[in-house]
Amino acid sequence: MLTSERPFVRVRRKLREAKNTISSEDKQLSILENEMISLHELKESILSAFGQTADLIMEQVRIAEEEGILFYLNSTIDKSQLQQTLMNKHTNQPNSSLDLKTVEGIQDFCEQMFGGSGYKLTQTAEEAINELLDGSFVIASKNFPLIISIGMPNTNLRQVAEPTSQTVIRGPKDSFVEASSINLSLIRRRIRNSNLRFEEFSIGSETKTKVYIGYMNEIANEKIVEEVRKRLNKINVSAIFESGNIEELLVDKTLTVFPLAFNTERPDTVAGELMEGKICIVVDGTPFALLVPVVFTDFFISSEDYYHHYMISSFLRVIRYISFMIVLIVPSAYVGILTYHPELVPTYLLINIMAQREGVPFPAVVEVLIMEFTFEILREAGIRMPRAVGQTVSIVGALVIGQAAAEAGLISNIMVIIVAITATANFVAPVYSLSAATRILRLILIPIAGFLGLYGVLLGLVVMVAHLASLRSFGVPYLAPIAPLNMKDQKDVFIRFPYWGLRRRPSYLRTAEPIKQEKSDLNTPPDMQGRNGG
Amino acid sequence: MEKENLSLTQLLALEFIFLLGSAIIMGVGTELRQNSWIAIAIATVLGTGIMYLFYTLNELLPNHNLFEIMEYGFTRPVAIFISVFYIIYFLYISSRLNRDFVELIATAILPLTPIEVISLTVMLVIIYIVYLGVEVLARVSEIFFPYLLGFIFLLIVFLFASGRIKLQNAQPMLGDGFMPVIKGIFPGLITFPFGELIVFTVILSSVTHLKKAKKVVLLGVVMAGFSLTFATVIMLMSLGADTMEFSIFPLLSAARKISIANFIERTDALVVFIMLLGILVKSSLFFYAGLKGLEYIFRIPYRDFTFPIGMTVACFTVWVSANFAEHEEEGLVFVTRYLHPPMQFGIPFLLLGIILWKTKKRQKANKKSTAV
Amino acid sequence: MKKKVLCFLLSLQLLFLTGCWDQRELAAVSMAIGMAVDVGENGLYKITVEAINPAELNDQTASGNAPSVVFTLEGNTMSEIAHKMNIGFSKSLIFSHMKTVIISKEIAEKGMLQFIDFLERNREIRDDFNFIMVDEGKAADVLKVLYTIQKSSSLKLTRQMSTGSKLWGSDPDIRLTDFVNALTATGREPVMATVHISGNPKKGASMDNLKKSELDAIVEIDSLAMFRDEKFVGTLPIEQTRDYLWTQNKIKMTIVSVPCGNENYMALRIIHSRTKVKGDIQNGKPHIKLSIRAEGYINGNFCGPYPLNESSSYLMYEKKVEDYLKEQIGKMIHKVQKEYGVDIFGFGETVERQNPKKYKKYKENWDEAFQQAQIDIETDIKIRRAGLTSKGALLRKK
Repeated sequence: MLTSERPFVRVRRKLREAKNTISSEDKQLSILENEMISLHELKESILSAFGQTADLIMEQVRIAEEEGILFYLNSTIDKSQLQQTLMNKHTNQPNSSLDLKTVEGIQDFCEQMFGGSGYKLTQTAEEAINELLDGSFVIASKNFPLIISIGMPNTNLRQVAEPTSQTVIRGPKDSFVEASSINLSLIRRRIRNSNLRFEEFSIGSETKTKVYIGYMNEIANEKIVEEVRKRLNKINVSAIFESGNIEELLVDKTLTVFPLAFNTERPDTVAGELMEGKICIVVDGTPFALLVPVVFTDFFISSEDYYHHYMISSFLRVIRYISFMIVLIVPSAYVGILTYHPELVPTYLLINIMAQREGVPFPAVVEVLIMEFTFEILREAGIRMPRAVGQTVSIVGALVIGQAAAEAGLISNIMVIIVAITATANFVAPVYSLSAATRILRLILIPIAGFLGLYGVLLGLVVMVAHLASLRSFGVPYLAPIAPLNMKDQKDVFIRFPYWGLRRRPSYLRTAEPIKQEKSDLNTPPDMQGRNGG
Repeated sequence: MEKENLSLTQLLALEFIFLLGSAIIMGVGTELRQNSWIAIAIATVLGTGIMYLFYTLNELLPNHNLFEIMEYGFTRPVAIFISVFYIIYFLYISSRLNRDFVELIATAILPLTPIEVISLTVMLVIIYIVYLGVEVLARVSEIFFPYLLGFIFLLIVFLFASGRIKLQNAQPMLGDGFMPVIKGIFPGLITFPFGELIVFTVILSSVTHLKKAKKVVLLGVVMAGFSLTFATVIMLMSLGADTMEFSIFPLLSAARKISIANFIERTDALVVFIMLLGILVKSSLFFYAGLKGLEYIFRIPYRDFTFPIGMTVACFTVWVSANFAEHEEEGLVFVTRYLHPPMQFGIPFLLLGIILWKTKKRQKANKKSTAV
Repeated sequence: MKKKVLCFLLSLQLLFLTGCWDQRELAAVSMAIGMAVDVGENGLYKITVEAINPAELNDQTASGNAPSVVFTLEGNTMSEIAHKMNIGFSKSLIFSHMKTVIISKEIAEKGMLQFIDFLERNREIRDDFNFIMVDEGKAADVLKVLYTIQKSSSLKLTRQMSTGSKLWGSDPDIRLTDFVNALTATGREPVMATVHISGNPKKGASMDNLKKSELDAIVEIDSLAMFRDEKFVGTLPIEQTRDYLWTQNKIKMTIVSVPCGNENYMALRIIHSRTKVKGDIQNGKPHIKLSIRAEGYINGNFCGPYPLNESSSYLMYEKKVEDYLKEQIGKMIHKVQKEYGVDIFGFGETVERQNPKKYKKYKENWDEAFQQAQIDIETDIKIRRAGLTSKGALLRKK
């Protein structure tokens, strides 16, 4: 693979690797004297790299009484900031005691002029090009031994708003945005702890997308963090645009419908899971962050479980698990029982169902499959349609169509109810990845029920459980803490203990610090005697 | 070959489902009528002794499964010779268990479906699970363990709620004295289901904390035996001794009587699920044991054998008997009297004796060497 | 690896190449809800099956037609007839929801109950149907009489029987296993509820029957039929049916009308009842002791000016009821002993349970021993309350 890489790419990769391990201070100190590049060479390299691209701006400027060229990419720079900095440059006359032809002189100059603006001193054309791409402007002058680049990336993207996919009733309503710097700040704000570490990766050979991993240094298991680093570095694709791309490259096993990494738009979820000992992966360009390692029960947890009273949260958790079972079992059991085992239905219910199915021309399997596919089509259409129209073509619309089909005699009324219940139950899962998985599983179980009845459904469920039991996410068994069973972890799986009871971190994450909080004394009402009565 | 790990809860769940497995559906000791549950209770006590024997085999040589223990006790050629018998034994029992299950489905649920299809589908699931490893099997049984308990409990509660339990049906107890009970236990109840625990000698080598496992393993036998006793009592009280004796699937017949508020009735599906689970775990364990034997002889990872041997077992499920009567007779006469005793007790006793003797010899030799 | 996958997929294919064997579309089956067995002319049995027309039982889809279709066929084994039924019916029948099986008196007298083996053995037929006898005429006629609310005859009968056994004790709630267990046991003989069609059965078979307030024909619970093994020996009228149920500990609620002279009666509504039976053999004769303990409240009192707010009145009434019950139940058991000589009470089973060794001697001919049995009845009635007034209006008038 290395032989087909262009030399440019090889250099960039070395640069990327070097960047990860060396901090910016060290970089400045390792500059070698005899690798200076001339202004002309720099200009040529930049022009050849960028070609005729419309957003590359080159301006002649004077800096510190010297002629120089200012390069920047129009599309990456925050224009207003740029003007301010340049204005400052003109008003602040440089200290002429500095000799700008030496490296130390340049460094002093930059410290004076641009100190605190995030400046860098580079030597090579490749580094300069990288800086341009990262949203910096580059100033080079004939007599300067180094190239100055100052970062002012354009963060004028979408503002922090409400999350679109994982909404809550009570809880913070900010969600991640596309700019990773804002995302990292949303996390950092919640965990004001120096142990929260972020590490930067540049993934995607062509797109060089910035990917950050975040973890709590003294909590997360070092081996898992190392594994994440290893896998990220192993990624060798040309383009990364979304965390979903990374997810498929990162997980232990792709031959499964179940998601092996948790994705979320909510910074409070990420912060909470980081405190539990998980590792988050933030990808620049998408508001969805990944959390690894993940277990199956994580997909039934919504962050507002921790904000509401624990009784209602426990109840809702149980409802979510029941909905999961409903989605899988109800349509296939309906098909299986009605086609193969009419003796399992109570008599009066069966009479009712028979009355409704009298004129229906299709066998139950076909009926269910038709309705399921119709629902899926309508649901997809409802998502893609423009906002104004989208609401009508939703589950309600599907129900109306179902009703019309029932009255036309194509399907029975019971069928509409079943499909509606299934469809609604499907969306109870807080994370979309799991509801997508259950949709597929449901569609697989229905033909199995059509062949072998209830027996087939039972077999299918056993196969599903066996498959789940064999999955691992970064080495953690997917069905922990249910199998292998760990009683200590049960406080947050099916029910949620009150906050004072959640003292331990999940043991399957093998965190460095398993105990979160000390045993707390519960509050007792204050002694009111002796005041106004007694 | 990677080390597979079983936790203690998984071991308990495996054992429980294994013992209940087919026994609870086919009914053990039903020919003893009102004394059946007494016989089962006594057999449970004996069963703990049997399990202790098998556990000791594994304790003396940790990390050795049955075949490796035989190699230590006898020699490799002799061990290979005996292993062949054990492999055939395990796979044969596995196909008999599948046949039990297939008969239940064919009798009660899907009468027209050819048994080849049922056999094939069940075997495919077993192959998949064993291919994924005994860890996965253990996790699956761990997950389904509460459901199994829950369903049995539900059945009992429903039976009570339907008013079908008549305490008088349990009388007279020991009406004919103790002799019939003794006759029922030897060799019937001892070999099925408790003697089949020999399979665990192949698995105990994978348990993480073997020392702690002693309590767990015996607890499993006690729990399962108790549940079986209780279930038999309930069946007796709801069906009556006559019906229970001549009923082929007594739990199913009992479950059919449940009728509450005209709504909770026809709960056959619960029984089928219990049986499915029990058979899956039991048959998978026997299958796995057979494959481990093949692995021992040929030194090829057992996963490679899963599919071909599995298909063979699926075929034998069908070929093993021509009709149900033959299947029953074979089970009651041939298997119980001539097949189980030597394989479950004869050879293991011999093995235990040899190993104890060898261990003593080694200890003496150690003493001698230290003394010198 | 590829070979393995290929083999696996091929084996899966085998499943799909063949068809779905057990598949029965709901639209292709008809639910058989009741069966009637008569003596056949050209065969051993004449079986009538009532199959539901489900559309008629659902108010939205009902169009005023008959709720079920009834068809008769003759043959030698019930199995053969059951599967030949589509000589008349359009769809195949499923028997798993059958609610009643009715036999005619003729069948019972001749003891032609071989068809029970089919009912026991078949996996479809469950245990939840009522086993009934009709006291005269053809069993098939019972299936034809329509009724307003449930419409179909069998549905009405099931509901009727379960209400009857709960409310007053008119139905012994005999299911197939109960009958079979009684049949095979040495210490018990089977019983069965009997129904009677009052009115004109022919008119009862039409939907016009339902358009009137007084139905042309209605199926009533009539009496209790007693058997010696499979042969019918006699019936007990309905009041004695209730007394019979008392010995079986099957009374849930009932009303006892106790006479207190001069055509005055008191009604006691029993709400809890428990009967314990002790059986023993002494001096060659069985000794059976029945202890009945019941609780109830006064539901109608015209026995005299005894004020019901005094506990002495309660005690007096309790004594009256106890004596009355002792007398009635004793009379009934005596009648069965002397006139019919069949142990329908299961006293033999009780002796077997409690004294198995003594019972062994009498096992073969228990019915004879039963006829000589000495029965002791002990009743303990507790009256808890008396409704809303302590002295009824008629007793208050001056």
